[in-house]
Amino acid sequence: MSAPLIQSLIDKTDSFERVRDQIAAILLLESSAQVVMAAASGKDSTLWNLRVFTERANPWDVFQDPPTGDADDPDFDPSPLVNVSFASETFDKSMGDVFERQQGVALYNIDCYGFAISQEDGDGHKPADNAAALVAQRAARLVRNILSAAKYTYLGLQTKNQGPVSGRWFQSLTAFVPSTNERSIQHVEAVRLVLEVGVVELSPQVVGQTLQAVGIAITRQANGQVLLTADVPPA
Amino acid sequence: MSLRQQAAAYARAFLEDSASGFGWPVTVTDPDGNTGELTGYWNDISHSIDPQTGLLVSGRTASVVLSLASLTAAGLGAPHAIADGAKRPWLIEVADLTGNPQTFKVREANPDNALGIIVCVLEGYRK
Repeated sequence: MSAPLIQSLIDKTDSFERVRDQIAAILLLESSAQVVMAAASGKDSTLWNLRVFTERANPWDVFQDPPTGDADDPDFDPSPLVNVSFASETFDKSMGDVFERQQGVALYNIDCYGFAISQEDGDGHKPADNAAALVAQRAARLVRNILSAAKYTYLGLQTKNQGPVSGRWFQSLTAFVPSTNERSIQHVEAVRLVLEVGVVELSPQVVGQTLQAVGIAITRQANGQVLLTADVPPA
Repeated sequence: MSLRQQAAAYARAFLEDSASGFGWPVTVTDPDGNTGELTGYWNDISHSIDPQTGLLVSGRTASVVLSLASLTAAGLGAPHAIADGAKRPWLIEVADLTGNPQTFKVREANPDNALGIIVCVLEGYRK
């Protein structure tokens, strides 16, 4: 084989990429709307805020230098972080075909990081480990409710029979066991939601070449003889 | 003076040598609000940690080593972790090299009664 057979540039995103970005976009859009609704209801709107990332290895580096004591840092945002990352995609041979369309099941890890440091509280204090766990779980609650909403059955990506999403389902929600060996000054706890999404993946097809039009007429004479008349354009 | 007493004295001297050593001024506050101005070995570094998500991320750890004798002399006693939210924790306040004040809570205390020192692992604290 000496010449490439695919004649067109592969310049599209696959469905698993679109779905990852769509998940992040939904979370950002809806959490922002929740903040507005909470403020309108007279509640502490910061409790509904999420900072959304995709495919980040170290999103909670932002928590490394929290203000302590009486110091205030207006640039420090303690809102929980949500990192959406693609984990895997498996394909069902019984669905789809070997030419163009494959039905896949994509898994996404949605990690919710909650941050807290110990806080003075009257004559006592609020411990950071407890607070960070509650923040992470609150973020996970928001994520699960947003993505499980009926309006997002297909994650806003077309309809069931048109793809690319045929449905979504939360496989699990797991709180990570806090490590007691790290002893960081900041407490960060994490909760992972695993979202399973049915997707359709398409592949490059053979580009047909323009054929010459050839007219063929087949007739049967009265004596049963079959005659063929062809009209072939000049070369 | 026995070797052990000498060792304890040397340990205290090393920790509290702020003129030519690594000693650094810290303010220690006990849960009852009593404070003491001491000198100790304060450490605050960043390193990679594993929050069990499969990825290493940046963390920051801080600690201070103090002389038990100096704490006693200041009328404070030995710091320890306070898990009860109804109580105030032991606090360590220190200014870093650039003068920025930092406030920490004692998260874990490891006394060495043989050398007369105590290692306090710290976490951030907001007043």
